[in-house]
Amino acid sequence: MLFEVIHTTDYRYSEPVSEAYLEARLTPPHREEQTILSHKIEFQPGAAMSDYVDYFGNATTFYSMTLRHERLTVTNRMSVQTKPRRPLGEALGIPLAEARQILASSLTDVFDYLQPTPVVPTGGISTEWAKKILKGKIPVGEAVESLNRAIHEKFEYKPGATELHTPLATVWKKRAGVCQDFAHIMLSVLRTAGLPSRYVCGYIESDAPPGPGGRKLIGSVATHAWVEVLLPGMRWLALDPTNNQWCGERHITVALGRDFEDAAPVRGTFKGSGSQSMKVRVTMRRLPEKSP
Amino acid sequence: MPIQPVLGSSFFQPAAANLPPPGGAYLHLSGISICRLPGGELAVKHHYFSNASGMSYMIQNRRALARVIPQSFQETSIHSIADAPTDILEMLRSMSQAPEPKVVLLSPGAGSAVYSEHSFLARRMGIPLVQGGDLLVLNDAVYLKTVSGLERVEIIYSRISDQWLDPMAFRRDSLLGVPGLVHCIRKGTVAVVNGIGSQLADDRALLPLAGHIIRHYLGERPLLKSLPTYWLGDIDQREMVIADLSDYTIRPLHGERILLGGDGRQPSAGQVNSVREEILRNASHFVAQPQDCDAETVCYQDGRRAVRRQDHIVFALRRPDGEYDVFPGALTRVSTDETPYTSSELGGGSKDTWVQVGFEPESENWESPRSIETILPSAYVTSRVAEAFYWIGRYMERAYSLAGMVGAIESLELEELNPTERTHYRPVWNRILPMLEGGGVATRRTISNPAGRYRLTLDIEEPGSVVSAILRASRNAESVSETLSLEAWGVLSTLRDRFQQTRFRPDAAPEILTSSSRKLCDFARALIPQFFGTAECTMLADGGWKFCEIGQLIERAAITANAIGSISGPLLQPAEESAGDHAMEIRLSAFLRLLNSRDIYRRVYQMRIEPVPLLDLLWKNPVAPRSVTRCMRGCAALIAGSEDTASPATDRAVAAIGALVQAIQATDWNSLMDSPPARQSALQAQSDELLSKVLGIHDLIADGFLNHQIHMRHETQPLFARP
Repeated sequence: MLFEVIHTTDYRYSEPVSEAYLEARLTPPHREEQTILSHKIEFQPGAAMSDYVDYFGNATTFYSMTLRHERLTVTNRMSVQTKPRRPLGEALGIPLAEARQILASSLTDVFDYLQPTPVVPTGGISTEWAKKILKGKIPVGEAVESLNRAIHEKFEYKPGATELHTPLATVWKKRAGVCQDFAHIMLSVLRTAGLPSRYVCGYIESDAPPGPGGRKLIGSVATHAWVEVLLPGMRWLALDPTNNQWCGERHITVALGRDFEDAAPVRGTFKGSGSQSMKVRVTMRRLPEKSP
Repeated sequence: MPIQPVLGSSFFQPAAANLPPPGGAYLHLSGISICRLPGGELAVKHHYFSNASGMSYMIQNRRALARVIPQSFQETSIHSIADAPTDILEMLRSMSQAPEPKVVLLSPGAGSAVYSEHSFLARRMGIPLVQGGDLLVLNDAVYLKTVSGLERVEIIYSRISDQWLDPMAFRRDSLLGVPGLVHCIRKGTVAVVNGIGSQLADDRALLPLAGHIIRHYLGERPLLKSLPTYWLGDIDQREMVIADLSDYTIRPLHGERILLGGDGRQPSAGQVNSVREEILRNASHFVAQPQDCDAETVCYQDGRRAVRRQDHIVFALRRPDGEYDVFPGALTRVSTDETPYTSSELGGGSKDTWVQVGFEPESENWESPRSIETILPSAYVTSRVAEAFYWIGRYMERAYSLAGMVGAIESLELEELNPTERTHYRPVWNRILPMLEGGGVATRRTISNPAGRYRLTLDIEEPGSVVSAILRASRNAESVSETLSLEAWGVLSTLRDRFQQTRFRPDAAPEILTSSSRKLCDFARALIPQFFGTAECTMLADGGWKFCEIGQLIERAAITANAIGSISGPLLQPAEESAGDHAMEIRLSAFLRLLNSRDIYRRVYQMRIEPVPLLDLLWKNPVAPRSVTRCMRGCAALIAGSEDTASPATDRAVAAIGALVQAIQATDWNSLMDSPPARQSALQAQSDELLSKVLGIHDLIADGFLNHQIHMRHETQPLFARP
């Protein structure tokens, strides 16, 4: 499928700001299932940008604005060609306990994706869920899929129920949240069960595609978040607990990390006396594809 | 190596992964603490790899001893450590290829327990001592903000813990760091010493592995063994330690805290039990070392001998050629009367430590008892410091003016004005007062009653009150406490304490309110000039102090201009009634009294008060204290005359002030007042115009010297050219 995405992040200040620094993780990686046809990040007001690759492999853009300004906008445009993800085959059928053993043998590579983070603690109620759903004898593919479904069923998708920094314990208690919370809950249970997993930030086509069977998906106006879990053979399986499905052609991967903090699309530091508010808008449009 | 203490350490910073280490190595200046085992052997007790904390004490102990018993240095040849700061500076400078690289010492500021060490080292090395707010990232490079402009910084000797160093990369809530610093390291434009992540190496859980690490990575045999150290996250080691807990010193993986032991004494059963519980709650956070490790020594103190425990921290430096030098001295830490611990953070003392040169008494290498400081301290004024001084000047002047106004009104009320006079005075007061705190305040202030005046004096919630201005001035003063003289600080803190210790009781009887406002305002009127005078007598007349004076003058000019603007419309208009001239004179007299300028007027004009001479006095007079012309000329002289501020911004500011003074001098008040139909608006318009120019001088000074908007616009010009 061919998509065009426009993602704007708009900062407004109550007082002009004299220094602003932003780090944007907005460059989608080339992957087997996605080809980047064009991509451009634009900052207003314009200033020097410089790029680097971060610890998690994300192409990151650093921007600094040291002149007084009243508003700051980041616009991310891209067109991306996606295709169905390659089947994971036998790895899915390995019993979970065995998968865990195999993965633990390459601990230095997966260590980061097994640890609790300040945002995604492990243990506690996650242990109960892990024991109930991620049983050692079940094939790992089946187990993580039923976890994905359980989160979708037991948690309500409710915009406004949580904020950017609502602790995970509150999400557990409320049983409601947005895609970021769904992903964090899933990561907490997976890591508690010893399955290395990571947070994915990206875009999703939410409008129902034309034709019969087209389903509207959640996650339209802002960026979307889901989870990747590592399987033996060092391949990642992407699951979207918010929409209760395996990720496919309608998902575009942008940034990865242990949690939202690592993969946040744009984060900034501002110097000035006032406060700032941020508005995010994402539009994702499917384009007609030329027949080959 | 176990994975946990490395990848799982809270000091492992993923955001800093793959950064180029400064000069090709992570550690350049480090310490280790060593102790003596019961058998007499020396062993390593702890690594202070990331941060050679305590170096200044090593140097200062030697200096102190050389002063107290110089003869002992003449009879013994001791290796000198006087050059240590020079050696460190050379090492730091080698981190950059630039011909004259700029080195700064980055400190968390005066709030840090070891700030005196930062200050000592910076002074001895002759490099600026800066805080995060002094530095700025521009086009992937780090700059020091000084009153003379932005200066590229190539090397930072950091004494801030990594996690606070850059809010973009590490803790988001850090106010101590420099946003974007890590990115500059990545781009190779700046070196931070020691390398980010070095704190990982201080983890006590790594100490048992030290021998393996040395053998594996260096292919050498360790010269000193490590003190047996047990990581309690390991179940076997934990069980062994817990079985004989009282034989051990229990410490966390980082920091100076001691849970148990460390004092050579048998702990009580209660202590042992509570520590056991704490260990079991969070075992992986602790290590155990044998209690029996510090040597005993005898000290002679206050005429008696006392047995003390002692250990040593020795420091080493990595030379630019990659070799290591151990400084021939140590920080020897001793327990004191107050504490059984050696660590200075826990109250321990320290003493000088000698390394002897061979056995010949006549070695050329002995310490001269009166070594002259070769490095002169640099009087560096960063923009942060200048800005704090600027606001001290402004807030103190603001408090002074307002206290004068409230005090004047209280005196007038005491003189029992007749009702007619009051009706003439009050509009003047009420108009002038609110301008002290520029707009945006919703509550209407009144000074017509004692409660209103009391609030303007002592209400902390009221941003424009005398107490608020004083508190703001003292907060700014605290942030630069190391540059403010003790005497000036003494005056300011006396003033602040008096206001803070007076309880705010707005519901008290009017007489009490009146007397309280009066006393406090009189006190402020006495102490604020004392502050300025004391500071001038006791402080370096450097760029920092100059900005305090500039702030004072700008505030005064702004208050004068604002006050005139607020009355120029209605109050200069002669009243129609019979007592018109008299009423006018009362108003003008009230006005001058509030600005503390009535006596000045009389001395200058020796006639009754009239609008045009009044305007001339307050705008144009070259010598009257409140005159805008005098204040502005004073500012220009300070800016132009200071070498610290020589920069393009200087010319710009001096030119703008010159233009303003010219505009003031060219204004003909008579003609503005004489064209009847439009006279009010013409006068008002000119007043407003001049006022906005006065306020514009503030922006110009702030942008030119303090926050560098002007300079940066110049630097970044090409970036702003739109295609």
